Amino acid sequence: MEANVWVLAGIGLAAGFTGSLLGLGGGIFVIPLLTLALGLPMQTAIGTSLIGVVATSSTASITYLRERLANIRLAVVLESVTTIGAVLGALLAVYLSQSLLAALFGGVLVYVACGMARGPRDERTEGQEAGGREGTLASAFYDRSRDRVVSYRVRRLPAGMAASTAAGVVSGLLGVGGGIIKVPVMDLVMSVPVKAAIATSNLMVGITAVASAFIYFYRGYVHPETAAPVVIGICLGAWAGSKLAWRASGRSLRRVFVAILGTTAVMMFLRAAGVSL
Amino acid sequence: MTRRNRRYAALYRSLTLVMEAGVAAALALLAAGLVMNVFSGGVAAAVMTAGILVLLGTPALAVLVAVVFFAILRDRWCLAASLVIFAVLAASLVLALRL
Repeated sequence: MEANVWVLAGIGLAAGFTGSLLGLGGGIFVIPLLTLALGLPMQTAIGTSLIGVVATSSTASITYLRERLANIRLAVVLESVTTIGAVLGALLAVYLSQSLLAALFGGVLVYVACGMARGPRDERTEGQEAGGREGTLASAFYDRSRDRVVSYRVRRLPAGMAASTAAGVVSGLLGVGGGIIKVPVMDLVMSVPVKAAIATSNLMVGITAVASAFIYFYRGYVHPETAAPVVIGICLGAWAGSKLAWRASGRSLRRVFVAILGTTAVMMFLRAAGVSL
Repeated sequence: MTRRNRRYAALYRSLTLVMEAGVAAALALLAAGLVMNVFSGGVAAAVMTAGILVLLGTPALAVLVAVVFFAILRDRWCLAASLVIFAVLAASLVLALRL
């Protein structure tokens, strides 16, 4: 076990570092590394990843809450349906086969890779006007890079709640944060500025992961000796990644990681098809 | 700043504090458990399990704090939403224990 501690911490470090550089949770990298490199069962990798997702979300939320970037009111409204989806996803995952989970995960990797290949979205500074319930979720934050207060209103709340439920199912089923669905939906559909969308999604992701992590934990899929070094590695990696993120060239980083995600997706599909790697 | 805005500011400060304390305590327990595991074993697994439970409890506690603040603020829409979240978290724990 002692020898593996460093390997597991290294996997967490690499996942946290790359995830932080790209604005993703560590789960998208932890699961392939634990299954393909160490041969752990999918459910164990997903359970470990969920603990890591809670750690990274809680750590990043400290800054986002202090800066008041996260919209707490919007987060609780969307999260009320996301947690239900997460529990359903986790209950479903327990009964699904390894190969189906691997294939589904490969599909999510392809989705993320395609989103990254398209490049970053244009950042709006203000959302659109909206009345009714959506209007009461309006918020504002101070944008340091623009040296101005950005005010916004929330649009199309029902569409956002439907997407949040789907994000919860994906999170519970596959052990990823669900931010890959929530952030684009908040940004593109609900007119929430991308910085506030990332911060709000980040706050939600940790709560979503807790809902399904309880189930993995008590089903025996979370092994403390595996989870502890991975979680510590993820936190250190995410911290280091956040310090370096602003220096890296976004375009070249994206190209490299689209290639990595694409290759990993192919490996997961091969695993799903029963081809040993 | 109005009294309502001051209370929302207090909500942000309280949630920040919960996250800081929870993450620090969980990482300290996980690190201590890992060190024990390398050198002696014994209660290492129990200490690491405690770290995982503290970590999982941190966002749950944050939701509970939000419930209290939304009740004080009489923000019925958000109070209902945060109560749903807390109920689902509690239900998932009960489900997990019974499965």
